[in-house]
Amino acid sequence: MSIGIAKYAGLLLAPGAWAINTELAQILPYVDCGAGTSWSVVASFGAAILALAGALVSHRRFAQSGPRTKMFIARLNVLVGLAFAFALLLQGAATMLLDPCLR
Amino acid sequence: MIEDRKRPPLRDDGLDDAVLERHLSQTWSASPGFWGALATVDHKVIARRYIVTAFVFLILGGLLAIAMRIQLAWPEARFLDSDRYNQIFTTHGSTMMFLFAVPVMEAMAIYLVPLMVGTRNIAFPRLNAFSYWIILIGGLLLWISFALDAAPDVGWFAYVPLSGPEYGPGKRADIWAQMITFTELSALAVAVEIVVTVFKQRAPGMSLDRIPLLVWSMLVMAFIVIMAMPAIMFASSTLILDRLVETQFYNPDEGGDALLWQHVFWFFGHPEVYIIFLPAAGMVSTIVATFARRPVFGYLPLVMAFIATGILAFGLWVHHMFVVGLPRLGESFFTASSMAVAVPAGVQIFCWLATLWLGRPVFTTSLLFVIGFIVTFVIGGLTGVMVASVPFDTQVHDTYFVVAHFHYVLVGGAVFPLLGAIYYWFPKMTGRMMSETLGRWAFGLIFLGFNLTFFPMHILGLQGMPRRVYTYQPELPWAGLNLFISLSALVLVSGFVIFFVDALRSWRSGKPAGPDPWKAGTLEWATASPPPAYNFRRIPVVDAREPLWSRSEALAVTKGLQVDRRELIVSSVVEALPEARESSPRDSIWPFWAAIATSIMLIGSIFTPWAVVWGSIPIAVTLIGWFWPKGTVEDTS
Repeated sequence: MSIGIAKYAGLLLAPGAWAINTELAQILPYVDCGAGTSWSVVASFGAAILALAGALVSHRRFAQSGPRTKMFIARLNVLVGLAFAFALLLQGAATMLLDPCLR
Repeated sequence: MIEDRKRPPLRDDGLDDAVLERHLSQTWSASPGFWGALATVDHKVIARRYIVTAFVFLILGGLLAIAMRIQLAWPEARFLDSDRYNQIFTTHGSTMMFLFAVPVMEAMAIYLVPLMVGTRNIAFPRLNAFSYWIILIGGLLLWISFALDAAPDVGWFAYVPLSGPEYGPGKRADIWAQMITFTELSALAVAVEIVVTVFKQRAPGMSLDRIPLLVWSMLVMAFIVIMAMPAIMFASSTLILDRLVETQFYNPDEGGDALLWQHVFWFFGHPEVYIIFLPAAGMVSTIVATFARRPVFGYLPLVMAFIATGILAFGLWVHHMFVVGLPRLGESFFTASSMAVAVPAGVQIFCWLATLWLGRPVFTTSLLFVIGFIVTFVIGGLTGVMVASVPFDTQVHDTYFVVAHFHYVLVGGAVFPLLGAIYYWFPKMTGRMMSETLGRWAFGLIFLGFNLTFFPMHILGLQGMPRRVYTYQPELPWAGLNLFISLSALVLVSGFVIFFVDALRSWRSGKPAGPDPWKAGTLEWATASPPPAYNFRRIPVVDAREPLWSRSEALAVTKGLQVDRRELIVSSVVEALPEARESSPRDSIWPFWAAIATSIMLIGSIFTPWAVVWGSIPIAVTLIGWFWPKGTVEDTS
């Protein structure tokens, strides 16, 4: 991954994963209910891992030395990545607790 | 680019201050007289108009609230009939959300962002002028219809099928939908201006990590507007199409979907809350730092909180739809995001408290409003967490509990900081101080009146009183609290009366403020109060987050800008390194005519779809006038 993209990983990957998972939440419960699968669980925790990975990539960039502004962006990305990882973990917890057929 | 070979450019290097100011005044000032006022593109003049207009709409919306409270003070009161009551709560909500809250926050951005980033005008200043005329006409459309007893009566979110052709005869719902179009157009225009101003017009040295927090909050707000407004634009346009040309977007009998309206509306409607709240959070960050006499605690977490809130705002909309029968698991994702947004909100609250704790706070009226905001917003946030839970929300949905909750969030989260911001920036805008004595009275009465008015609504909601009922029977146990609420609303009103009296009185004869009465740290205080048409005599160079606090001597400034034409510095996005000298558009009457032409087309299209066709011709004419080539140099590296 290039340094430029790595710097923005937390800001791009984490909200992106969260947005996609939120959309999937409108679709996958119907699939899970009909077929008895657990795609909602897989998607949520997969997205949470992706968000954490985004934060980690930005953190690695942050650990390197560099200009002040770039450090600021990298740190910002780490925090945003962690915030969205938390949101995704909450969504993942919901998939563990609720029956997908519940209306 | 067309070269201007007539004469060599006159630049600011070597000119003494008096000569420079004379040239800059000639170049940047609006022409005197009526047409000069209509044609001005000065961001400060337009922002002042926006703010005054928004506060007039606040007063009008407030008068409607009083009318509702009189009607509800007693069971089976006859002050209003049901039809007028429906018009009143619809117009109240629409006015407060679309004609007061959003425009006033954008107006503060229009005024403050160029000054805080150290530039001479907002980007696309003619678009800015256009946006003001558009929202003014949109507001007049709603209020003239109200005066004619033809105002919308479908609630501020105008659910179908109530607002559709089957149940909404006449033009009331169309007026609502087209008023929305006006406000969207205006908001989108301002959002684009803010984004470009922040990204490309910052003073040299104002890198991303030195941008004032208010500017960050306005930037995030602008992005939310750009992402959210197209959804409501789609919604309002398709509603009019369903009503006018019999498309069937929302008619299930013909393959449409009534629930689509709720999805599209709330995809906009929930971010709308943050469109209002985030600028307020920026104002709070600024006011807290100034009066705690120290830089804000946690600049980085606060920026993160603004951005995270802005993005999370788009994953909460279904929590307005918990009772429509979606799968519980799908709903729970929105509960999760609604809970998660409490994290950045909490980060902000703790950063502000830490700033106050570590500083030496001076409890001016501005700071009192901020403290009132923290108390009120935390209560609103807590009830927000409650209604984010599906089982609880199912019980209180469409009751006064929800009315209490969103007034705590919106008034607590936006109006309190806004009033604090008016006390804070009034000296900059007018050159005069507001009264601290009257300000404290205003704060006390508004804080007390607000809590006495809205807190009991939680109890009414838990007792089962539904929203949007124009009366109730005497046997129901709601009369006592309703009377108490209506009387408390008078306390709230008296606080606002004192605020407006103070503002008008101070504008005319307040104590002169001087350039920096609060000894604040951001760039808007580096120029005169009120600022001259050109904002800064010379564009400052920034080397800290609070440039006025970081040095004892005068700010470093740039040189080389042309003074015989409107010119400003274009800088790089991340580091704010100077890239070019860019011309800034001159005054023009064409945005005004373009707004008139657009308004004729939009209002005409309520009645006939052909208005879109013939209405586009005058719009095209005005746009040609607007963009007619001027034959001047646009930019130089």
